Amino acid sequence: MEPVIGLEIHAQLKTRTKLFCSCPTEPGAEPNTLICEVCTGQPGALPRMNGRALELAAKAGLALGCRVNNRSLFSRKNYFYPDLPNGFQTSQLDPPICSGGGLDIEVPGGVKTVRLNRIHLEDDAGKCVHDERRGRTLVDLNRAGTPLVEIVTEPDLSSAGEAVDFLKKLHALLVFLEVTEGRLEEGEFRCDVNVSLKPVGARELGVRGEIKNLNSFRHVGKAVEYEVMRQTALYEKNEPVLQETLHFDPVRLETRTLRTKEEAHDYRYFPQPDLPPVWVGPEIVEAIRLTLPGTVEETRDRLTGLGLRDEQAALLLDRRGALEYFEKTTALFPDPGKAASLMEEFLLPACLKEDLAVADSPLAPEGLARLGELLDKGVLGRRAVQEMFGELFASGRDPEELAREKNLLLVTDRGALSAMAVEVVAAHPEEVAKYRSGQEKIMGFLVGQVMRKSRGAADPKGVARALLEAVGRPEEN
Amino acid sequence: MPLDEKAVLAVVGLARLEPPERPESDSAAADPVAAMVSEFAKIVDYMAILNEAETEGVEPMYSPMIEPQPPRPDEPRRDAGKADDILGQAPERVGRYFSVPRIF
Repeated sequence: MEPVIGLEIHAQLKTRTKLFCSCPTEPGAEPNTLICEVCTGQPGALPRMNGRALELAAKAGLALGCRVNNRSLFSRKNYFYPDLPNGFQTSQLDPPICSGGGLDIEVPGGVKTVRLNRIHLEDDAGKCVHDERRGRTLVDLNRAGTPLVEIVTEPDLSSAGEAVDFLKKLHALLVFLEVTEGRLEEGEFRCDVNVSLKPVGARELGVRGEIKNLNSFRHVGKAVEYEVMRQTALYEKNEPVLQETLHFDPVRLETRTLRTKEEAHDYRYFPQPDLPPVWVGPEIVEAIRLTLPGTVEETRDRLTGLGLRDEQAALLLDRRGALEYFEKTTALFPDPGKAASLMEEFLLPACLKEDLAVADSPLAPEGLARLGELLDKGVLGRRAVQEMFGELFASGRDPEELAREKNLLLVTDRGALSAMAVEVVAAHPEEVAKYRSGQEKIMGFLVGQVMRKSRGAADPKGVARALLEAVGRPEEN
Repeated sequence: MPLDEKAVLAVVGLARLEPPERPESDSAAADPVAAMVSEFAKIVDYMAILNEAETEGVEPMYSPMIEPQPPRPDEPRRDAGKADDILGQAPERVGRYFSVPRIF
């Protein structure tokens, strides 16, 4: 038996307002402050569709190779729940805004295309909070009406690992395109997983379990693993797998029945009569296609073409804001390889450690560019950078000023180096004689002596040059 | 779909309506549920007359609005007074939350 997995992803669109009204979509607001008559389902209130939401859905579809349907419809998905003020969710049954499409993932032996079935627009429900003390459920409708895209794959995934890889790649793409902020902990990117088993080589799919509402990549992996194990055990005992909706327990790492097929909702879909058909003309689709910033692959190729290693390119693409920071740095310090190395070695780890978004780094791209210049000119050594980076990052100060303050600037002045070199040569006549007689390795010792004399502040390259000059001079003393 | 009592009561349940009360089994009063089922059947049969119309190649009418609606610009508008007004309509509140019977 082999696992067959399909995913349904809900991503919150990066718009300023809700899908059908102008209420702001800000996280963290006081409960029930971002509401109006439309999103709270007051009698007589009518929806008006957010144009930006439509553009973002089309943009996601184009980037994923979907067909953007010029005409699509909104439908009502009817059920009762306290966080659903209208008694229905406005979704798209048929036709959706996008159809088809796919995303490739790497698998052992090459590449696998995971096909998409559709992408459609829908609005999110509000939030329920359970008040144990009072025995009540509390409802906040700030989130009600927030625009979502639902992305549905075909059941092309075959393992927990593939599912997680696909999700990470999809997430990175949507964040990169600025279709979603994708903050998993805020619930801006959630996933339902459908898992079934079938005999290897069989065409017909088995009965599936639907695990709802996972919002961490790790949970998705664990949930799939558990569910495959659970269904396998049932098959081995010749017991039937029931079609049911499951909840994943993140503490015990198990799935549990939420609803059976008998208890399943009957959504009684019908076209939303309050909303006319959605029309996206071919010229608009083309205009949106032109705003695509080049696929992730194209950007990755551009970066490696500039001299970045694969890992560096991947890092810049995966961390939100990193690419923009990199572009700003290289605008001032045009050495992409060195800029990427500074980000890889110093800046990105510092952001991670301080739990800061790259865009919120106290050290601006101008500062990192200046640091690159100082390193390049030999005015600052790598070790000095390691020593001072923490403070540089936290303060955002000018690196040269900070280095000078901490006495980390290398002595590059030829006169000063020359003077030290001459002193060392005079102090070690035996070694100098050995050098002149052909023992070239003795130079290392002499360089070390100058470094000691300068307490590590001498620029090693300059020292070598100065010593060669000092030693090369015919004996005048 | 056969429009029997089971189907009608299922739809009534989905709509979160209370079915009419049945009289005691020994009472001579008419059974309102049976009456409801027969009325439903008549209404659905009447709608079936529409199926006799020739609609091959005709696009269904999904909405009285045929013209696409100009999309709304993505500009936020806050109205604290309106939000408070809506919250004020709630039969029960806890702070700024709507309070409803506990969901399990």
